[in-house]
Amino acid sequence: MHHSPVAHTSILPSPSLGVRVRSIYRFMKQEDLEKVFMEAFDAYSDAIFRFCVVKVTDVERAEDMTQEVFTRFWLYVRDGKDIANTRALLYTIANNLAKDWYKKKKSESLDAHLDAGLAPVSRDLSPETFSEYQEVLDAMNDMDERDRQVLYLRFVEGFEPREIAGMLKETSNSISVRLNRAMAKLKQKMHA
Amino acid sequence: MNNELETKEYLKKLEHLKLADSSRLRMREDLLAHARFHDVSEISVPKAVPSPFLSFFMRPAPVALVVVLLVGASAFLLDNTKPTEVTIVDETTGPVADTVTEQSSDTSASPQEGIETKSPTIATSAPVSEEEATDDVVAMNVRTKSTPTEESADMASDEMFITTELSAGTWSIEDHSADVAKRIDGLRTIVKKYDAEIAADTKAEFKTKLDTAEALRTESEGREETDARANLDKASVLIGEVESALSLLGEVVVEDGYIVGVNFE
Repeated sequence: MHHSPVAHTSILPSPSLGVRVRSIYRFMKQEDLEKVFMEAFDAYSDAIFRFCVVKVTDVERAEDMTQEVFTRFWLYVRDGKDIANTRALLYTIANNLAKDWYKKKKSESLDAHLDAGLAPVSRDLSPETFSEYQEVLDAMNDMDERDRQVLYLRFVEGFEPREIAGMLKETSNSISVRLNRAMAKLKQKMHA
Repeated sequence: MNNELETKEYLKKLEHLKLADSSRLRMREDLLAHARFHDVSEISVPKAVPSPFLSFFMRPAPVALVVVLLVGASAFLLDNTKPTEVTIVDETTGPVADTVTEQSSDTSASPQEGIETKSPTIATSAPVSEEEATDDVVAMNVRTKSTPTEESADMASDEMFITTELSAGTWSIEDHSADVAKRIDGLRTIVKKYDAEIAADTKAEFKTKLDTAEALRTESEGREETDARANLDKASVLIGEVESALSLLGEVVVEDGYIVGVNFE
């Protein structure tokens, strides 16, 4: 079953407007909140999944993380919290989850994880399909994790450096530096 | 430049990486189930966080302290007021003192005339000696000083009594809770009784407020006393709003402090 992205009649606020929707969520009924929630899922689940794949380089883990991102997002919606930009909030939650995951991994065995590299086999994604992206992900794999996500957010998701800075709690300057560095590394990889 | 474009295009391949349909469907169902399990009813009351300054003054103890300090300071100031600091005393002493001085120095002039010109208020009285006049002034000063001080002292002691009673919490939390419950029940009965007379949206508003008040009261039962009292106070405010709205709709009939009926005529 395919779920189409958000229709024009969506009550989900446009991320570009930066509208404060606290008052709207706070006074909505459960069924309306569910509608908002599911619209957000349909609109952003693929992007969040991609972001998680780039972050954790593991498709199954990325799926679980995507689900966790939306589980946490539901609490924001249900509690009527101040949401200025749904899309940015989802990336911020995903980024925080990935940080936790890295911390946990580090305490287990970072070397073992790095040696294993990408895990292309997913429950639903065949190795053949995944190989299309495998090359790019491999090229990004030995980059610094933060450089990798900056590269992804800028050139795949199309965020401005200023927006990425807000999501990752860094300055626009440091994001630009990361972008330049990551691009140079990627070029080297591609032409190696 | 071409290199950069090439790199960007290379990255763009990732744009097509998506969740598999079966994964998306499973995730959708799981998330919807999660949303229904942790639904809005888990949040009974929106938690508004007041500023630290306001939250300090919203507690009963600091408010009582401030009232006691204000009342005490007023009583202290009034008690220490000197006779000449009272304006009315200054105005009265001036003419009388002048009259007395003039009377003793100007023996040729008629005492009655002197008093008439300088102080019309005592012009009709008999001529007074300097000693008698001074005694009068002192007596007047004492009266003007003592009267307000005694009154304010009485007022102060009354206010302090009320404040002390409140801050000591002589009304137990159980009594407070029972009162809130009784008011809520009473108002629900009234709303039901006058179903036809009260507009639907007003009834809905009453219901929301009473439900919230009820939730606050229920929540207060398992909480610490300060928090429980704060909850009950919030509930009382909501109930008060309903009572106030009812009194605007018609003439309310009150028995033992509770609204028992409304006359809509």
